[in-house]
Amino acid sequence: MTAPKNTPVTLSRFAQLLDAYGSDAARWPESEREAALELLQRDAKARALHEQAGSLDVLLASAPTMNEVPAALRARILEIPVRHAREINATAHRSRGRFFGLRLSLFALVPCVLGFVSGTLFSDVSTDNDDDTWNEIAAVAMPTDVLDEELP
Amino acid sequence: MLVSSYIAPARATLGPALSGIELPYPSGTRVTDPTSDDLACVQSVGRGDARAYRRLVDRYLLGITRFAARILNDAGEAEEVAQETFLRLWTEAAGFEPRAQPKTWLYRIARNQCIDRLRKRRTRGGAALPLDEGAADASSGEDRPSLLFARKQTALRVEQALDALPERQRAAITLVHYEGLSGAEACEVLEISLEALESLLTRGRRGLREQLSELQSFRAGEGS
Repeated sequence: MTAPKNTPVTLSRFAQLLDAYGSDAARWPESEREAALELLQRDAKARALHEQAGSLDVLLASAPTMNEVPAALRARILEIPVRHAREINATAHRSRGRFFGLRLSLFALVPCVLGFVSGTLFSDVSTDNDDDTWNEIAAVAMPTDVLDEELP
Repeated sequence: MLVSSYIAPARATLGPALSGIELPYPSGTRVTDPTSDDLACVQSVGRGDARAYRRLVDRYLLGITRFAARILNDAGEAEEVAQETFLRLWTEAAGFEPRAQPKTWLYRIARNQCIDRLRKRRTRGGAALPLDEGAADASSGEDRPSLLFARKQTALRVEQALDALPERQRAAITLVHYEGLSGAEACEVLEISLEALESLLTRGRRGLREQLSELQSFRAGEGS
């Protein structure tokens, strides 16, 4: 209900204002405040309604209320920027650490993979005829005359 | 409205009479209205300015905590809501769009958290809220125990009546009656129209009047 500035206020609207906002004129919508106060001055019925609304306001004002913030809470809240910056740094540090570990693992893995691939591709060792293989190796490694000598 | 426009002529007129009074702003300080100053502060917070953050904390922490305490009726949870609200101020200020006022934005964050918490704890009972009973006691100056006791009882009864209201009515009454928000500001917090706000306030006050009818007659008797 966005009334234009200085909207005329009828007694019925005045009653609605009191029902909603109570007797304190500071709470009434600014656009209707002036007209409502004028009505209050000149109309006895409006004054009676106002007084009635006022009695509830007096009761509401007696409700317990918090008048100051606990010091520990204020301190915790003022610490938020510092704590938040610290958390961001810690997160960045953790993620740097994680990436460092990943890089290190890759670095170690690459030679293994290369070794495995090259071993698979270029290996020519046969295990079928072990005796022949050993004889060939022995023939290469030892002089011919040694091979011809009979063992005692 | 510039505060200095009131202060400067007052200093000139009153001269030495003001010399012993410490004003909240140094003379010549240009202080704009709270809304635009809030906006400037939020923008500064978005750039990581901790001093602007502190100003907003000083300005709104009490109201936000009190509002959450009234809605949740639990001091511990109200403090958590306040912390979360200001954490979000710090982390989300850079993305704040000035369609709403910073003040109503903060209250809305707090209110949404209160709603979440109320949903979660439907089955749990809340701890009692240690509130000052200043309003009941401070004005008295009278030390008749029976009168003090009656006032404390009245305060307790009013608190119970407020707690018994549905959340939306309680939020509307708390914002307008206790936190001093204008109708337009309360509408922004609750994300409703002015008609809807007036309806909530009217129903809330009617409910309170019914619950407190015996107290109203008591106070009428006390006054006579």
